[in-house]
Formats: sequence, C-alpha cells, structure tokens
Amino acid sequence: MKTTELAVIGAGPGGLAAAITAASAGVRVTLIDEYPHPGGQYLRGAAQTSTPPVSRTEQRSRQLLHQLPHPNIEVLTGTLVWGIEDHTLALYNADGVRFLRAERIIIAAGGRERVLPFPGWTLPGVMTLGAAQILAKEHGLLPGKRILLAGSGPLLLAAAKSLLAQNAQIIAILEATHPIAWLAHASAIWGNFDRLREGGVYANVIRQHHIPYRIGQTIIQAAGEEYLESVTAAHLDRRGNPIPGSEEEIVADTLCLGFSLIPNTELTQLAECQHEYNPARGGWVPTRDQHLQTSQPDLYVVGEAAGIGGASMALLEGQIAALAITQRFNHIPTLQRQLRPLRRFGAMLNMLFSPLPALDALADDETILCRCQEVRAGEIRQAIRDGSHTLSSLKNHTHTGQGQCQGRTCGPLLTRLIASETDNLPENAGQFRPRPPLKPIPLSALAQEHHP
Amino acid sequence: MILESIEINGQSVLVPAGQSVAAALFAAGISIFRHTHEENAPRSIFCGMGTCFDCLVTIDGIPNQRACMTLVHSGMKIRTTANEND
Repeated sequence: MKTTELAVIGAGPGGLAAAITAASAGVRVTLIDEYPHPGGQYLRGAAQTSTPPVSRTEQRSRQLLHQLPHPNIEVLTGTLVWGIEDHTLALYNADGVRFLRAERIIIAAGGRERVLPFPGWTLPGVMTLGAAQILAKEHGLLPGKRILLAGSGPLLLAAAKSLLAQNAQIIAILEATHPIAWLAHASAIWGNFDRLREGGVYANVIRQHHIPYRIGQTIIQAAGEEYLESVTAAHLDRRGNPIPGSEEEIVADTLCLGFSLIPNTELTQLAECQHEYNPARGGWVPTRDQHLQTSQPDLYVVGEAAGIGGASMALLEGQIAALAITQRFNHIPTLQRQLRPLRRFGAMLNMLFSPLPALDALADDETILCRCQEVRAGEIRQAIRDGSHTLSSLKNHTHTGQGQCQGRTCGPLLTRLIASETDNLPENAGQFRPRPPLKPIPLSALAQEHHP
Repeated sequence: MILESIEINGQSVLVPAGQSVAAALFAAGISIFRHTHEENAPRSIFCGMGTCFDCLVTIDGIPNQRACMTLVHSGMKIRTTANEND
C-alpha cells in the first residue's frame, strides 16, 4: 500500500491552502479531488480565465492554484475517495481502485447546494445555480435561452454574473427573503469589506444589464412536457407562504435554483467523527478543536465541509490546519483573529438565507422528494404520520435515500420535513449513515486492485 | 482551441478538449440525458458537480456514468438513454 505524510481531500480553496502551506514546510502531500481539474467549484475555469478576480479571496485562490504542480505535492485528480477507515483511504480513478495510508488527513470536501422541492422541480431545464455557473464559467456555454434565477443568498448574484458574461438572457432574479430580515443582521458586515466589495461588483453587473431583482418572491411551480416550458412565480409572506393571487406565469426554458449551501459531511461521518447540528454553520457539521482537528486524532476538516462560510474562510482554515500539523503554532493566532469576522459573516448569511419554514409546503403530495428512487412527498408525509421520525426510519419504510446519490439530495429536505411535520427540532431526525463506497464505483474496478 | 472528435449517439461531433461530457451534450443540443426506471421521466443536468446522479449516461459502453464529472477524450462514445427510447 502506498503511504503519504499528509492526504488532503478536496482541491478547492481550503484544500489548496492546506496542501501548499504543508508542502512549503517540506511535508510530502497527496492532494486528491474527484473532478479532473483542481480548484473546486469556486475555481472552475479559473486556470484559463481572463476575467479579473471579483475579490482578494478569488485572486489569492487563483495564485494557489497556479502553484501547482508543486515538487512536494502529488495531485490525484479525477479520483474519488470512497472509503476512510482509521488512516487508510480507499481511492478510485481511471486506473482502478487503490488504497493510500496517510499519517495525517485534512478533509476539505466542500459543500453542496440545497434546492427545495416543488411541483415540476425534476424537469430537465431546472438545475442548481452551480450547474449553470459551471457551464458558463468553465465551458463558455449557456444552459438555455430564457433563464430565471431563484432561491436565496449571494450565489444568485454570483451565478448571474457568470451567465451574463456569456451574454445570457436573464428574465429575472427572485430572492425569497425579505429586506426587513436583512436589516436585523446588518451588524455582522463589520470587518467584511472584501465581501461587501464583491457584493458591489455583482450589484453593478445586475444593474448594468437591467436584470429585475425581485425580493420576497420565488418559483412555486415548473411546467413542461419533456423540458421546462414555463414557471409560476409568487410573492411570499414573511414565513414563506405564497400569497394567493400573486401568482404569475413566466415563459422560461431554464430555471436555476439555490437556497444556500450545506456542508458535505459524508467523509467525516464515515470516519466516525463527532458531529453537531448547527444552523448557523449550515446544518450538520463535525466538531473541531482550535486547530480544526476533529474528534479523531490527526484528522482535520477545513472549509465548507466544516460549516458554510465562503472561500475566504476556507483559505484561512486550510492554512491553520496545515500549520498545526507542521507544528508552526506561532503563526496560528493571527489567522484565528482574521477568521472571527468571517465566521460572524458566514453565520449571518446561513441564518438569513436559510429557507423560510413554510417553503417546505410548496412540495404537494404528488411532488417527488427523492429524485433517485422517485418517492413522492405524500408517501413520505404518510410514513412520518405513521411514526417514522428519523431519516433512517424513512429510508427503511419508503426507499427514500436508497438511490445512487445515497440521500445527498433528499436527506437535508427530509430533515426539514420531519421537523415541520412533527413540530420537533431538526437534529432529532438524525442523519443518513453513509457507507462505503461513498459513491458508486464499478465492480470491475474492485475486482482488480491496482498495484503501482 | 484544440478540438477532439467524439461520438454522441452514433454521430461524430467535434468538441473542445477538456470539456465535460455534460457540456459537450448541451453544446450538441442534447439536453435530455436519460429517462428514469420507475416513471420513464426525463432527466438532465441538475447539480452539475457530481452529487445528484441525475445526469447519468453511457460512456464507452459503461452505463451510469456522471456526464458532469467526466471529461471528453478523443474517440469517446457517448450514449444518452433519451435516444434509445425514441
């Protein structure tokens, strides 16, 4: 079995910062990412872009990316980590399956987008903001001709900017939260001027292109035969209930959605790290000490996978974990001080833009909740009424979460649904238990282990 | 820009090197990638980053490959199941 001094899982800003900080101190690093190019979702297309960075964070992240290849870093892209046990990682890539033993591990697995279900959300043409942004940023393509953006949070604006750079026709941007809620959180802005400047860049682009930015509205229905043809927009009250009579049908072939991000915790769960439910960090997160070490010795987690806070936070956290591993503790307090306003800002965004409770009711009983197994909301609500009050129990009784995505998409939706149907705390619904392989791998790859 | 020749549902197309299969399909005007087992419902790109497994296609004979996480290579043969159902 191959060995390494430090395995970094995820090559986004947090993973890059960790890998390069450790490698510059002479540590032998293996940097692993599932996508064929390093950079994570944040730096998609950044290697060949000519667009100026929108923030210091983007500039710094690109600089890190350009430090690859690095003599002390082995980069394994296109490589899935499908298992983690003690200090051994199970890997799969085009060469097949292999195992890697790492003295220390930093997980920087990032986050994923939350999309709330509503009638028609499984139609082709309905996709996440990230999916549309990747097509535009990395491939210079547009997802469609008449595009609508809906959801909540700053990613709406970031995605709009990427799409407009490819001359997209954006009909409108629908932000579900109300401005009155924004004011209540204004104090967290202090000390986050780089983020504010970034917001200003986005606002300017939207204004220059005369894109309507509609606040307190969302999409409640999508319709079409084989592909999206039209959507229904509605005004929302402050709890998120559509206001009767406010519905408006809009012709569109593309609907991009995102209700903020949630952390990818499958690896830390599989490694049996302790987790806690913290809505200010985006939901379930691994607990960490001041050096970002989890409850498992020599296993660290940084960036969105430990709590949604943006790339600026991930860059600092990656450095802190790598400095702790290389015993350069005297550099850490300064970084921890810089982290504080970012954490405050991240918590503000997570609370402010976490989906309004009544939005779960948009999914009528006929709406599919589990996209893989095609389990409808009605069946799941019935199972909850029949006593299934945890994700595991719902999985047993309805097949939800048993498909290819292994509950990554439906899991967070079920957490909210159980909480609202039983009037209980979301954390009491528990989590799906991830099991290896964390994502499907072909049997043929398992049958012949690769011996380098 | 370097172009590579691939085959989508039996038709030869030229695509930029380094493009994802999902992007290549969209660029070729194919935006329905498959139909589901249970309800024969159409699916396409959804999350775009390897999480949701909606964008599954057959690549070089191996089924259930994520179009969003696979890059094209010269001579690649892609089949969407949308085509098989026609």
